[in-house]
Order: sequence, then structure tokens, then C-alpha cells
Amino acid sequence: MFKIKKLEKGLNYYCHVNEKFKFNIITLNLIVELNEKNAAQNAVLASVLRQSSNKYKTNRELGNKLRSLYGADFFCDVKKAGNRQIIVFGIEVLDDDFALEKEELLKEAVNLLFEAIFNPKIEDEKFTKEAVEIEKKDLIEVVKSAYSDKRQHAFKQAIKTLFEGDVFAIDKFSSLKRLEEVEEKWLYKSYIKLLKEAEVLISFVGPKERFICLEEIFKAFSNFKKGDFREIEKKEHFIFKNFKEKQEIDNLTQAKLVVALSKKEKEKINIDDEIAIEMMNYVFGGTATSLLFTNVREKESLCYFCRSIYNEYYGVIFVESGVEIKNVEKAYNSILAEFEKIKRGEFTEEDINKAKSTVDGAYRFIFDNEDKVHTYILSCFLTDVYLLPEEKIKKLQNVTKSDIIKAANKFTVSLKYVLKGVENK
Amino acid sequence: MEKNIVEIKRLKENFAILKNKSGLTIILKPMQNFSKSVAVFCTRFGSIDRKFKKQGEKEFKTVPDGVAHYLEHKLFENEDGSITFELYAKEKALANAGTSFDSTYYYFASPPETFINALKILLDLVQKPYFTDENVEKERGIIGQEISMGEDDPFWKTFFGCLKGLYHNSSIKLRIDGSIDSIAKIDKKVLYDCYENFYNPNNMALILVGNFKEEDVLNLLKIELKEKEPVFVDRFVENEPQDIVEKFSIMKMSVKMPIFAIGFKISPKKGNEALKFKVGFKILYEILFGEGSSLYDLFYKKGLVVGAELDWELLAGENHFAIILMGESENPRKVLDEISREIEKKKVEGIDKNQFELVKKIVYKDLVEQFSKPEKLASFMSDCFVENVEIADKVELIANIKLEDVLDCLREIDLNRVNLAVTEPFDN
Repeated sequence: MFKIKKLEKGLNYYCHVNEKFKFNIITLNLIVELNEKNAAQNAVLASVLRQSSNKYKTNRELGNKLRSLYGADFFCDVKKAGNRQIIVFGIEVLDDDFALEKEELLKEAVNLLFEAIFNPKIEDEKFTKEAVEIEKKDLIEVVKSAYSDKRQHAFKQAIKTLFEGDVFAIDKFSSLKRLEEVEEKWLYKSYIKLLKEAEVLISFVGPKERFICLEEIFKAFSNFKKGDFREIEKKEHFIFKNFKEKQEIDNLTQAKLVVALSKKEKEKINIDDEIAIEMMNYVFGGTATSLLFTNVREKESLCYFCRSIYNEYYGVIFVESGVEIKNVEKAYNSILAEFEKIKRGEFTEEDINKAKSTVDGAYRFIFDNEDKVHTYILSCFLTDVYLLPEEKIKKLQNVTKSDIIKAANKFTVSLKYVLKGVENK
Repeated sequence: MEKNIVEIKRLKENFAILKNKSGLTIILKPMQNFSKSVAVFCTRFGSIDRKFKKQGEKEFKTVPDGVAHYLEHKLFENEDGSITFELYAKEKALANAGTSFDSTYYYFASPPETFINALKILLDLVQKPYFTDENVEKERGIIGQEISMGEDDPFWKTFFGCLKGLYHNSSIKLRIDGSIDSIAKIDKKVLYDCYENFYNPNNMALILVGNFKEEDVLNLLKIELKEKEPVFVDRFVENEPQDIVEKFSIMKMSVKMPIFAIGFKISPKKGNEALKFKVGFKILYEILFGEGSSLYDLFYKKGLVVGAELDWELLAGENHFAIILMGESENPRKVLDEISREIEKKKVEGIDKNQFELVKKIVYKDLVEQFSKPEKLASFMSDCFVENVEIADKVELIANIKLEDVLDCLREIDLNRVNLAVTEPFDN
């Protein structure tokens, strides 16, 4: 087990140092409750903060500063984990040891991050209308452009359909309507609220421990954490109510099929059960040796991709595939048939061993990459399970065939979503 | 085997390059601090190699489009019926393969203790083809669906729309995976024929980077590498006129935001000249379009390009050399106008030396990054092999790039040889 340092209530810090790294990455993850109105405001706010500050007033000034830091990557991202929205600010910068003129790259990069978040460009407690309108327009276009990626679009529509009326259905950017409603006059309030109420995870990955350079950021966050912070209650897993089926027509050559499998009954989430579900998913459709890959793709030649993903926040398994329109039913039935095989235990110890072996490699490689460490640590923080990759591997290795059968039998098919063109096209 | 140690003093790095009797290039770069090792086996055979002949043969033969990609899929078949992904899985290895315009590569990453076993699987995979009528037929449905997936991808379609607008004859304008009709013509004979011609050791490289012992690798290679007589292939190079096919190419698809590709047709270059252009353009791109540039600022403030940033790709070959810029915009023509205006302006005013020096640091950082992780380095090295350039030469060229080289790139951009391809929504 590893620990995340609690600097104070709502403020957490994790550091991973390994001399093999040549870059430093610092991320500031601000975790808040997902709701339609705030999600849109936070998304616009994050982009506004990313683009300029009091110190770097224009995009050109900021861009030139980043160039002087050897093209440091200053990023801002909005994520979603169940009923939580995560606003991520981060910077990736070459380590000082590689600077050609002994520049203090890390210190400068951290300062840039600090300025963006704690010294924004505001007048009379207001962000400028111009900055807000630019980011609003851009985010609206980003949402519209997601429609062009049909695989992603089908997946989003499936989530909307399955969780209709539930907080899980809310998109990480909320909706076009909510984005359009964002106004600069409310944004300053959202900004203060975000800094006060968000649970913060600061993580640092690089070749050397340089805690000292982050102190200014710790202090600044600390000033906002005076009593207003409250922990977000993680929402329970989604439970099957009724089977849903939806078909939408688009101008497509290939049909995109999404199948969801949900838990039948409410249960207290515990780590060993979740590990068994994760393992079951690898055997079912999560690897290139899984039943879905081997049978639906390789034996039946029905598709190029057919894979399953277990979402630990929703507690739902999603299967996605792209198939010929005339083969949608055949693929759907094949996917369900493979899942039934898992439920009945019609798979071998060898199938399990192959999946175990594959995920062993995948987990071990995580700590070879600075950015993968950040993603892994954030997911540990969000699930409240602090296992190092090698500990996770050990737990996965201990899953037995009967654990897998038991895990599969908790699920039933809850959604069939199809996005397709007209058949004679 | 001949062995040379290459030292890259400016990055304090070194690695070994070996060549076996059959002409296979082997690159070994231990990186002991990592939990994985990476192996890439690549060949200079891609989608543009559609017409060729063995040296000494009279006639060129034409193969169906998409054959390099089909061959990549089919090499995963084994005579004993074992499934390659399962063999890799047993060794805790994550494997993949890919085909581009000019190369095919096979890749895996594994923990140190299973690296030699996984490497044996890779060597078998690439060196022991096993094609039957049945297994070739089986793949048609899978690849057909991969092609259909691409048909629904407006970014992919726009990219090729632009290449078609630039090139009259060059094979670069054709999809890498072919079409449903072209793959219908592929059979085991075609696959074996391509294999014999292009999967010859003197056309291939094996690149190993990460946590392994050189001695163990060399012992395995001594036993497992097949000796073959070198084969030399002449590739047919289509005659490509200087001018473009059309200035504007419009497509309609199910999108909400128009997607555009702006292609600049540049005169083909070879060797060092090509390499210098590639490096110079990287700097030019940062100066013209990177965050901090006046175009980025304009795209951002006017909301002209989604995210204000453009993706870019540079495609280089015997009869083609093109820069493709891609993005999303409500007004792609205005984007092209602004880009053209800025290029003209820079041609007249030149490039500020301070800006050049600043941006040059990014190129240095990129170089450090290539040597920072096994998978990045293996990919950098295999790119060098496919481009036919020495890794050390490439590093030196990047480090020594001059402002004049960047200005040369700028001068080469001819605004009369530009295509704008746009994929618009149906109702537009």
C-alpha cells in the first residue's frame, strides 16, 4: 500500500521520484461534485485560467514563456469519474539537469502554474467578457466536434441512454445549452467556490524530490481550505432496473454497437470483489486473448474491434464494437453468448492465466512513464484504494475461476445501443 | 556479425549497431532502469509499394492496394495453429503491429525476465509466414470492417481528400489499408510474393531497447535469425507532375463542425536535403503556428480554429513531399487565407533570430525526449531506418539546424501548390 500525504483537510500530495526520468510533471487535480450547471461553469473557468493570467496577460506572452522553458507542456483537462468532475491543471517540463544554460526550468514552470491558478486576469472580481466568450465558443465547438468521432459519439449516447435521469448521465462538459448559459459575471464566484470546495490532489513525478518548489502552491491552496471543504460522497454503483434498447440513424458505413452489463443487486463495494470483476472483464473482453477477441473477431470475423471495459465508478461493463449493419444482431447475440459462457464457467484455467499474464505486464509498465503514474495515482485516489501496481498484480493473480464466475453472475445485460446507417447504403 | 558502437556525445548516449551476414540491421540499446524492454522488427514495405520487380526481372508487377497491411495481419498466423497474441500473453508481453505508407512494424514490450522468450515469438512471427486459402479468407471480414471504420472517420477522409487534391499519380493518395474491392483480390500467392520481396533481412531492422542483457540477445539471434540471400527490389515510381490536381476538395459527411486539411505540395527531396527540410519545418511550424505565434493568437481570439492549434504531418518519398495541416473550423477558407498571408509576410520580413533561438530549444527538448523511454527511442530508431538515415547524423543535424535552413523551408512553400480539403456537414 502507498500513502498519499494529507497536508490538511482537502489538500493531498503525492510524489514519485525515479532518477530514470528526464522530465518533471506536476498535476493539480481539483475534484468536485458533478452537476449540470457547475460542470459547464468549471469547464469554461478551467480554460480561461489556462489561457492567461495577470503575469502572462496574452496568449503570446504565455506562449513565449513556454518556449523559453524548452516548450514545456502546460495542460488543462476536464475529466469525469462517476458523480465527480475533475479539473486537471498540469505542466510537463524538461528536468533542470538537461537545461543547456543552467536555467531553473522546474521553478519557472511551477511559478507559471501558480500564476495561472492563483493570479488570474480579473477586474473588479470579474473575468473579462472577452476571455470567457472565447473559451465558451471554443468548448461549444469541442463538444460539437466530438460528434465527428462516431465511435466516441456512440459511446456517449449509450451512457446518456443507460443513465437517463441519473447524475451519471451528465457529460464532463455538461451540455451545449449549459455552456451557452455561462456568463462572466458568475464565473468569479465559481472560481472561489472551486478553490474552496474542491478536494485537491497535487502530484509530482520526476527524477528528484523537489518538494520545496511546490510550497507556494500548497500555501495558496491552504488559504482557501478554511472550513468550507467537505468531502464528496461517492455515488453507489448503478443497479439494473430495466433493459433499454435504442437505435439511432446516422450516415454511416459501419454500425457502432454498444452493450452495457449492469449489476443486478446493490452491494457494498469491497476491493476483492472489484478485483474479481476487473479480472473477469479481462477474460471476457479486455485483452487480445479474451473470449470476445478470440471468438467474435478472430473466429467469426465479425468486426475489427470488439472489446469490453469495466468502469469502476459506474460499476458497469461496456462492450463496444463496429460491425456491418446486417451483422448487428449476430454480433449482439455473440457478445451475450460469450458473456453467458463466463457466467456458466465455460472457459479454461488457461484463459485466466493468459489474461493474468497480460495484465501483469501492463501494470508493471505504469511506473516507467511519468504521465501514466499521474493517471494511476489519480484513479487510486478516486477509488480510495492505494495499491501499488505490484500489489494490484498480486491481488489479480489470486483471483480464481469461481471468483470470476461469481463476479459475472452479478451482471445482466442492461442496454443495447446501435448507431447505424441505412442498410442498403 | 559486424558491430559498431555509436556515441552521441551531446546527449551522453551510446548504442550498438550490428549487421548480420544477410544484411539485417540490429540496434541494441540497453536501458537498465526501466521495467520493460521493447522490440521492434520493421521492414521498408508500405502501402505505396504497389508495383515492383526483383532486380534482374524484366517486368514490373502490380499488387492489389492494401497488401502490405493485409500481410501485417496475416503474419500473426502460425503453422501449428497457435495464436500469436496468446503466446505473447504467456510471456507477459503487450504486442502490436502497424502499417504506414512506407513501412510495416511489429512491436512488443515485456518485462525483463520474459524478454528473450518474447523476442523468440517476434522472430518466429516475422520469419515464418504461414498463409493458407482459409486463413487469408478469414481475415477479409476483419480488414473489411477496419476499412469501413475508416470510411466513417471524417478526419481520415479529409486527410486523403487533401492528398488526392495534391497528387495526380503518386500512390501516396491511396488509403493504407486499401478498399473492399482491392482486398478482395488478395490471396496467399500475392502475400507470399510480397513477403519474399520485402521481408528480406537487407530490407529490415530489429531494434531492441530497454532492460535486457546484450549477451542473452546475441545468443538467441545467433540461433534464431534465418540466413537469406539478399533480395534487391526496384520500386516503380509513378511520374508525378509539379502542379496540383485541384485547389479545393469538398466532401460531405455526418459532422457538426467542418474538418479541413491544408496540403502544401513541395518538390521531392532525398537524403540530407529531405532530413534538413523535415527538421527545419518543425521549427517553422512552431514559429508560424505554435502557441506564442501571431497566427495562434489570431485563431484563438477570433475562434477561427477549434483549440487554436493545427495538427501537422510531413510525408516524404520518391515522388511526393507534402506538408498537411489539419484542424476544425467554421470557416476553413478564412483559415487558409490567414495562413497564406502569414507565409507571404514571413517570406518578405524573414524570421526573427531571437524567436528562432527560442524555438530551437523545443527541438532540443524533443531530442532528449526521444532518448527518455524505451518505446520512444525504439520508434525514433525505426523511423531513422525507414528514412534511410543514420541516427547519429539525424541527431547532429537537429542540433546544428540554422536559421537559414528554416528560411529555405519557408521559401520552398509555393502558395500556388496548395490544396484545401474540407469535410462539411450534409446540411451546409
